[in-house]
Order: sequence, then C-alpha cells, then structure tokens
Amino acid sequence: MASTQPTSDKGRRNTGEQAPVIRVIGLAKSYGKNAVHKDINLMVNNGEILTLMGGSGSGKSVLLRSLIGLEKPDRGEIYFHDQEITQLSEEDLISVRKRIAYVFQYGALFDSLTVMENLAYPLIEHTQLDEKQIRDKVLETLKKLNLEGTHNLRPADLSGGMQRRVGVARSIIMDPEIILYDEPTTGLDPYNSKQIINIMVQLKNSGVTAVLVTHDMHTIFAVSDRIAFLKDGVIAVEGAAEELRTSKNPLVHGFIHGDTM
Amino acid sequence: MTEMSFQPLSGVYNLNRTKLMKFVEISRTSGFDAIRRTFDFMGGSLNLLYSVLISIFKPPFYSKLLLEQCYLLGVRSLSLVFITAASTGMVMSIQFGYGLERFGGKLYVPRVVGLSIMRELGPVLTCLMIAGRVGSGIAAELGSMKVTQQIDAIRALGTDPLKRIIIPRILALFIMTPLLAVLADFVGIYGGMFISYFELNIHPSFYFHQSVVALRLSDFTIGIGKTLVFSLIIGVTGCYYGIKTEGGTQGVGQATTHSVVTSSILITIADFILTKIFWIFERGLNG
Ligand SMILES: Nc1ncnc2c1ncn2[C@@H]1O[C@H](COP(=O)(O)OP(=O)(O)OP(=O)(O)O)[C@@H](O)[C@H]1O
Ligand SMILES: [Mg+2]
Repeated sequence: MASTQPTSDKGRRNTGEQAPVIRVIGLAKSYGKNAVHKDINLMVNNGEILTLMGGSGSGKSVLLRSLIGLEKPDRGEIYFHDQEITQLSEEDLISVRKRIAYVFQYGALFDSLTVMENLAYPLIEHTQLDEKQIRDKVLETLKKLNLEGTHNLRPADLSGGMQRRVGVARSIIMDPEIILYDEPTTGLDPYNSKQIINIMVQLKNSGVTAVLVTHDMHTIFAVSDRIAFLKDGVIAVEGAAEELRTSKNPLVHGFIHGDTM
Repeated sequence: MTEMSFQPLSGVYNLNRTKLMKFVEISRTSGFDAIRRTFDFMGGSLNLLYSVLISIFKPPFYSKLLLEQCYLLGVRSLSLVFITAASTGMVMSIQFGYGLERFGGKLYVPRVVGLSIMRELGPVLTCLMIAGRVGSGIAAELGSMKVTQQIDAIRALGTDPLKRIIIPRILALFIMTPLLAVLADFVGIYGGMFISYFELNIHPSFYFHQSVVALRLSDFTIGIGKTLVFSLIIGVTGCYYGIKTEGGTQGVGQATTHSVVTSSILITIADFILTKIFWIFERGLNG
C-alpha cells in the first residue's frame, strides 16, 4: 500500500468515535468557464450512507468520480483514511480503487464479456483465487441480487434493470470498504429498485460505508443516514436524514418535495 | 416582398452586415477549430504513443488479450488483403502489359509489376485497407466503450485501459500488418503472373525468373519496413479518436470517420517521406 503520511491539521478535525473514512477539503473543479465545484467540504463517516442531492448538472457525479480519482480536481484535497488521493498517479490509485467500489449509473458492463466474465474481472485482476473459487464467488454474488442463471448471458441480453443489478454485483464482489452509487435506482421499475435497495441495506448492516447520488426519494429515505445538498458548487445544507425530512429550510423542502428539481 | 425596397437602406445594410459577420465568425471559428484539432491530435497521439512505449514492458502483460486481437485484427483481415492484392497484381499486369506492348516492352511486365507491388502497392494498399477495416473498428469500439463508461469502469476496477485495451490493439497491428503485407506481396505477384499467362502469353517460369532477377532483397524489406510505421499510425490514430470520443452515438460515428480519414492521410504522407528517405539511403549505399 502507498505511504500513509501524517496529514495536515485541517484533515484531522473530526476524530470522534465515528472516524471519517473520506474527507473532502476545499475541493474546486471547473470545465472551461463552467465552475462545477467551488469549495466543497464534506466528510463521510465510517459505516454510514451519505446521500448527495442537488439539481441536474450540480456536479454530483463529478464529485463521486473525484472520490476514486476518475476526475482530478483543480484545487483541494480528498483523504481516504489518512491518504491524500488527488495527487496519486493512476498506478498508485489502484490500491484505493480495490477498496472503494463505484456503481455506474447505467452499469457500464463490459459488453464483449459475459456476466460471469464481468464479475470475474476484478477477482482475476486482484486476487489469487483459482478458477473454481472465482466461479463460486461469482455465482454466490449473483444469487445475492437474484440474478441466478444469467452468468452465461451477455449484457445486451439482459433487461436494463438486470444490467444495473449486474453492475452492482460487479462492484461489490471484491468486498469493498466503501461503495459509491451513482443513481443506482433511477429509472428502474419498483421490483428492480427494491432489489438494489435491499442489497444496499444489507451491505450497510455489514458495516460498508456508502455515498449515494440519487433523485429518488424512496431510495433516499430507505437507506440514508445523512444527506448533503450540493448547490452552486458548495455543500449548501448537510444533516441527518430524519431531521431534513421535516426541515422547513426552503432549499431542502424544495428538493424533497420536488419544487426545485 | 415589395415592402423590402421601402425599408431604409441601413436596415438592408445591417442585415447583410450581420450575415457577413456571422459567416466570417463561423469560418474563423471553424478554421481555428480545425487547426486546434490538428494540434490536439498531434499532441495527443504522440502522448499516447509515448505512454504506450513506456508501459509496454511493465507488467502486467495481457498475452491472451494480445492473441485475441492478433486474431480479430489480423487473421480476420486475410480475405480483404488477399482480394485487394490479387486484383492489384492482375490490374497492373493488364495495364502494363497492354501499355508497354505499344513500345515492345511487354517482357518487362514481370519486373515492373513485381517492383511496384513489393516497394509500394502491396504495403500501402494493405495498410489503407487495414486503416479502413481495423482502424475504424478500433475507434468505434473504444468510442462506444468511452460513451458507455466502460473505460471509466476499467479504471474504477483498478485496472489500466492502456494495458488492457490500447496496447493489445496497437501491438497486434504492429505484429500482424507486416505479415499481411508479406502475404499481399506474394499474392499480388502471383495475381500478375496469372493474368500475364492468360492475357499476355508470358510463361510463368519466365515471369517468376524475371521477378527474382529484378527484385532485390531491399525492395522487399523496405516495403515491409514501411508497414511497421503505417501500422503504428493506424493503431495510435484509432485508439486516440476512440478514447477521445464524446457525445454519445454521434460522437462514435465522428470518431470512426476521423480515424479513417486521418490515418489514410497520414499513411500517404508518411509513405512519401519514407520512400524519399529510403531512396536517399539506397543511392548512398550503392555509390
Ligand atoms: N468531462 C466533462 N467535460 C466538460 N464538462 C463536464 C464534464 N463532466 C461534467 N461536466 C459538467 O459538469 C457539470 C456537472 O456534471 P455532473 O454530471 O456531475 O452533474 P450531476 O449533478 O451528476 O447531474 P445529473 O443529476 O444530471 O446526473 C455539468 O454542467 C456538466 O456539463
Ligand atoms: Mg450524474
């Protein structure tokens, strides 16, 4: 693993019993003249599900991508435990990416590979498991998402909802510490949504930390511990999910009751 | 329509002026755009080539993926290369046969055809065909992977797109293109021999003998040597436009077109430069 240098004081603020696993400090990112993030400060505590909300184009996906180094910010720091990751090379990011999984909005399955090969991909790359062990692990993970019998199919042969579930399966197969979900249930029918929410709750109960981006109120209140609202390049409001649900703050009220989106 | 003439002159002038300004603006921005894109391409593709060169010898090595690409890009191009080379050889034989007959030079057909195929047409036409078939395929495939976030997924899963998808393709082209060009050389010469026998009454043994006498080893190696450069052009261009793809399916179409056009142009330019350089060297060597 890469070096764990002592970090700046700023990064060490919150050292209560809930140690933050991710800290974002003063993050800024622009695309040309479009300043997507201006000054993002955020913490993700161990074992919680933090939901990011915000209007379309407010930079939720960009923030999520930054957390595993898919996007390089212009300024600011991101700590994963005590390791600053924005300055890491692609090579050094591998150790981080083995521990933080990303669930892509549309699954992002490799369409030239079967479902089995898609799920086996990270295991082949990063573990010493033999063929039989990999196969067993893949089948077991598919079962968790009620996807038995799909392992020989290609992504194109699956429904949209199944593809998304396979995407989730591929992300959790390495038993990550943290999972980043980008709109995992958006546009899905209730059955597929429920399957994904179930697995999110299961993972949370087994202590996996998560950051969730979604517009779907049902998903949000089914799983979130805390919610952060992204607006105009900063975290405008942040708080416990239960408190915000009844909040009179116009911004929060607008989001939750659909006046702002 | 007649009211137009009653409008104050300044209005008409303004109309034309704004139109004109718009035209100037569009042509200026698109002109700049083209120049900017050209520089982007040069910088980006050289950068890509550089990254490929420094990471090609570092583990992990995906030999299975390389073999798969050698099959998909190389073996699957056999029939295309075969047909192109055979018809080129046959066409050349007919053209030179009847053309040279007027000057009593029919017997030079084997030498002329052999030389032009070995030095020029075999390698170049093969590579142009491969640019059309394989280069476009690479750009389209990587482009679709880009817009469906599969390339991000490769990175997010802790693996390197350069190693997993780019290097196998560039390397496979680098290995397979020269082999295909060798095939094209022989098929082309045999095609010429075939037509010469039936159309021009040149006996195959004479044809063969003449080809062997006229051709030097360097004619062959130089032709094949050029394909090494061309194959890099095809591979790097296809991969570059593939991974730069943006804007959904439309972007994929554009990437494909750009890749074929750019690599074809670059192949013809590189061909001229290489030919010139090789002749300078050969002249020098032979006194
Ligand atoms: N690669 C990029 N190049 C240029 N602009 C980008 C890029 N990625 C994102 N953006 C811009 O950044 C802004 C935020 O994008 P992002 O995808 O994070 O929005 P979002 O909050 O996830 O929205 P949605 O809810 O619609 O998914 C958008 O204005 C988008 O155009
Ligand atoms: Mg998004």
